[in-house]
Amino acid sequence: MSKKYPTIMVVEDENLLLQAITKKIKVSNMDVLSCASGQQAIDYLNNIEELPDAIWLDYYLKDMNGLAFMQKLKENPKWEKIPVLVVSNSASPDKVNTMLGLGAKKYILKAEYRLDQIIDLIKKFIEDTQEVSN
Amino acid sequence: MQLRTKIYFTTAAITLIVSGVGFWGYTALLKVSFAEAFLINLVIFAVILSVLMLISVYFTNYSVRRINKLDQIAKSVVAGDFNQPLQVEGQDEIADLTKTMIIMVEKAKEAVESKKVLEKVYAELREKMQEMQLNKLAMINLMEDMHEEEVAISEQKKILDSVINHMPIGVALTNPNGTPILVNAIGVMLLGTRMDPVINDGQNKPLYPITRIDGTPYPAEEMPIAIAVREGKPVTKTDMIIIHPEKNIIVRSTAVPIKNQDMQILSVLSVMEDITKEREIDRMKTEFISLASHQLRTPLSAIRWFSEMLLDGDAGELNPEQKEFTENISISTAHMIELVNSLLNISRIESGRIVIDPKPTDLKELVEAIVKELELKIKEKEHTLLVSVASGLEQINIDPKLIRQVYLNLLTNAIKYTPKGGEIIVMISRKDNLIISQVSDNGYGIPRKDQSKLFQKFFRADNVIKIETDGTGLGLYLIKAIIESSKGKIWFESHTKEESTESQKQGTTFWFSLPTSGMEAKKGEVTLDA
Repeated sequence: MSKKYPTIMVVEDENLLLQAITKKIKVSNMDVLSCASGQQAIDYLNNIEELPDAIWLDYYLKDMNGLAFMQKLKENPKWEKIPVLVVSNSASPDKVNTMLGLGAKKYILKAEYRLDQIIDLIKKFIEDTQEVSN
Repeated sequence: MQLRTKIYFTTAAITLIVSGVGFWGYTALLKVSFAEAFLINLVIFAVILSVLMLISVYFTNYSVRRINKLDQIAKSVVAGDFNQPLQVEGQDEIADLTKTMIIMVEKAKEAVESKKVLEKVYAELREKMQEMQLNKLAMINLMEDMHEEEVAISEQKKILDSVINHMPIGVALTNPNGTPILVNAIGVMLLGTRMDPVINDGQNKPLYPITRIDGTPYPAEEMPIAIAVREGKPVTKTDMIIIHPEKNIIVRSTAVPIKNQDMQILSVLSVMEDITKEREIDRMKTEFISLASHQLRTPLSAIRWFSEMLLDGDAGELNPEQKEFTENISISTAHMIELVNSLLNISRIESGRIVIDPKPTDLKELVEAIVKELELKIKEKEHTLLVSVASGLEQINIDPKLIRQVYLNLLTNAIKYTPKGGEIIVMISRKDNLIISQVSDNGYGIPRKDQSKLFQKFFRADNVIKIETDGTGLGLYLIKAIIESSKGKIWFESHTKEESTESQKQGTTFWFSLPTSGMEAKKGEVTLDA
């Protein structure tokens, strides 16, 4: 598999945030799959040839919450391996623990991070995943 | 009389004899004429008669004197003097009279004396009777007073009962062992009819189960009444849940021991306030703040990220002015995010939903990590910072996330509110069962007039608002809540430049204590900064 840029799927239903994230990923030399809802993301995953290298997931989505999305990912063994970073408005311990339990790599609070810090985190996950698969 | 008669008779006889003999003698012997004899006789007769008369007078006077004396004595006796000398002289009538008088005087004396005794007894009796009369009057008065008082008391009791009964809070007066003496209507409603002294079934405990505010069982010996009896002082504002069949009622209870003069506890007064609604409103307020704050995070993230990209040149290079403006947006956004975080933290602490997860923590390490985090800010302001931790200070079982917030806040304040080149000292030591942390600076200080308001929500002291525009006024409020929920205390001493003296140097020192026993673990739904 030779791919020039890693691809990141962003699942975020706030349009402005989605725009900002998409732009930042692009200028960071990565490809981006922007999804405005959980269902759109699942549809993408079902239909695209190459799976994304990482998923940026907003916990609160209008059509489903992060928990339901993670459970759907778990249903497909291929999807299960994709590293997920949960970026949310709230990080109560039970949510964080549940998501980490379901396989999310990290759970962070939106407003506390700069975009480039989050991009760096994702890049690191991708590297870690590639090391494991290599 | 007898004597006098005798004297008269004797005198007459002697006179007759003497004159007869004389008459005879003169005429026969002296041969005087009859007339001369008669004359001599007459003379002799006269002489004898005079002598007799003198004797008679003497005797008469003697008797009269004795009778007078008797008379005087009799008068004295009548006047009440019984100690007159009464002596029997001779054997005549006066002597008899005297004897009789002696007896009479004795009798009279006796009679008078017994009369005196009687009079005395009578006087005493009268006195007693008067006294009794007075006592009787006093008793009657007393009884009247008592009756009046009884009426007044019973009226007051009625008023008091009515007041107590109609109070919107539960009031229960119990024996130290919990047996109800007086429970008002709300009290009975809250605790159950078993607490009603009238229909108490002798079980000495409320009808409905009581739990702690977190739902865990509430042992009877830890309830306010028991503690108030044990420690002999009021136990204020303890919250508990009373589980009624249809709903849970949250009650804020205060128990006050009532003591007699010997400081023995006679009874305990419990006041119970139904704070269910208050708690519900408070919960809704907290929930609202929480929701609003979370909602704020989305637009704040958008502002933050777009200004970040602008500054990073992701949309092309900015000219210096554009850059400056965007930086201002970025700073304001960061400030707003901080405010939202503080609001959220406060709502978490206030709601009591916060997780307390104590871990053995080395305070020195904790503080040093925070100092490292703040290094940049310290350098920027050219402060010197000294951390001194008592050697041999053991680890303490606290929630590092919560206590970190306390040190972070105090240190941030010290850095912020001290002019450039200041001196900041952190000292941690142990005193008995407490770990005392001290954070001091030689900064602007807090004006005396503002000191009492320092821990209030959104309060910022006058003198620093102009110097440091940043600041939410929530930091100290938050850490006070954290420390108090950890059974610690926070206090401070501060002097502004104007209010400082030789011994009271300019600057601020905060102290806070934590029990060496550490914090109690608590399950919850939220943590700080989440």
